[in-house]
Amino acid sequence: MAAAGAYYVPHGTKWPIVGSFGMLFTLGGALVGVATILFMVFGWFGTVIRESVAGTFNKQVDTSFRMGMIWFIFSEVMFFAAFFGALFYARALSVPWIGGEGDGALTNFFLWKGYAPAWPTNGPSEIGGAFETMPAWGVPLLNTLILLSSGVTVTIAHHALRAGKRKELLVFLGLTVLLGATFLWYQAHEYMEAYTQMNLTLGSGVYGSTFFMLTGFHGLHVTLGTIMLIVIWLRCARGHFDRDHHFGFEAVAWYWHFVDVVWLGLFLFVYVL
Amino acid sequence: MTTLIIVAFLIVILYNLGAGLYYMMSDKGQTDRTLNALKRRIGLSVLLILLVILGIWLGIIKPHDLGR
Repeated sequence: MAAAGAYYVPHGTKWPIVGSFGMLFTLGGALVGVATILFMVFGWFGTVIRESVAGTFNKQVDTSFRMGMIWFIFSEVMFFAAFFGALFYARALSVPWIGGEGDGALTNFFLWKGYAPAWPTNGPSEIGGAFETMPAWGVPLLNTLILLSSGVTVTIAHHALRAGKRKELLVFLGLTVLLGATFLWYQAHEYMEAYTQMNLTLGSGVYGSTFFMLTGFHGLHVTLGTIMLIVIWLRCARGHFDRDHHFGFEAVAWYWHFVDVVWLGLFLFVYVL
Repeated sequence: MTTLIIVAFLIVILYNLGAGLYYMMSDKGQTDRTLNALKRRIGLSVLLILLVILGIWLGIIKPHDLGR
């Protein structure tokens, strides 16, 4: 056991080797590998939660968790910046270039004659065939309102935690989970409609690929956020947090706000503008 | 012009989101600064979307369509 007040270092844990085997198993088949990795994630995080509740972590460990959050968010910001960057590059630069703007006059004349730049587009070769775009005034707007409402409910839950109102915290955190799940349900339907009725697919040129990469990875983040909110709801129900000690809650609540802001950017730049 | 207003809103929203993260690191859950920054961020986001809805409804903002 570590001395009181020292930086806690666990002595002996099986989770790293379980994770390593999980990665090895993905070579044989995704299902077994991913299942093993999920087992590792839940087991490892569960161990850390039990260590935290047992009071083994000092202030320095707390700072480490907060630093970990910063780096995680930094990588997330870079990740979405790359995809938003691809969207802006295609829309504002490369599509106008092949349409003859700027110094692209000869490119347009010799390679893409007659192509008039526009957005949305699947390019001069019309990769993926004719498609319809997803109108903003429908499911996307509904999903925006759902996600914004979940941002409001998570803020109310946060306020309740700081005010020491447990019941309010659980009710509004629970509502946030439900709103997140509803968002995902509508997005799945939007994708089915895009594929079956609008011929808007991942292969619909630059519009289709940026559309599905951005909204798809955002949806994945909503899925992850919803799972994290469920875990935090269970931890709140078990009384793991109080008004002064709630980093787990705060980090996940902040992550939910982050995912919400990414959607705002998506809704505005992919669907509306 | 509408794009500029929307981008200005997004910058202020991002600033408040970032401030929330910064206060999470510096105050370690002991103050309400993170919560208050996140309250400003959600308030501004709701206001922005309501304005966009109003803009589409009044025809000031036209969501893009094919070939436009």
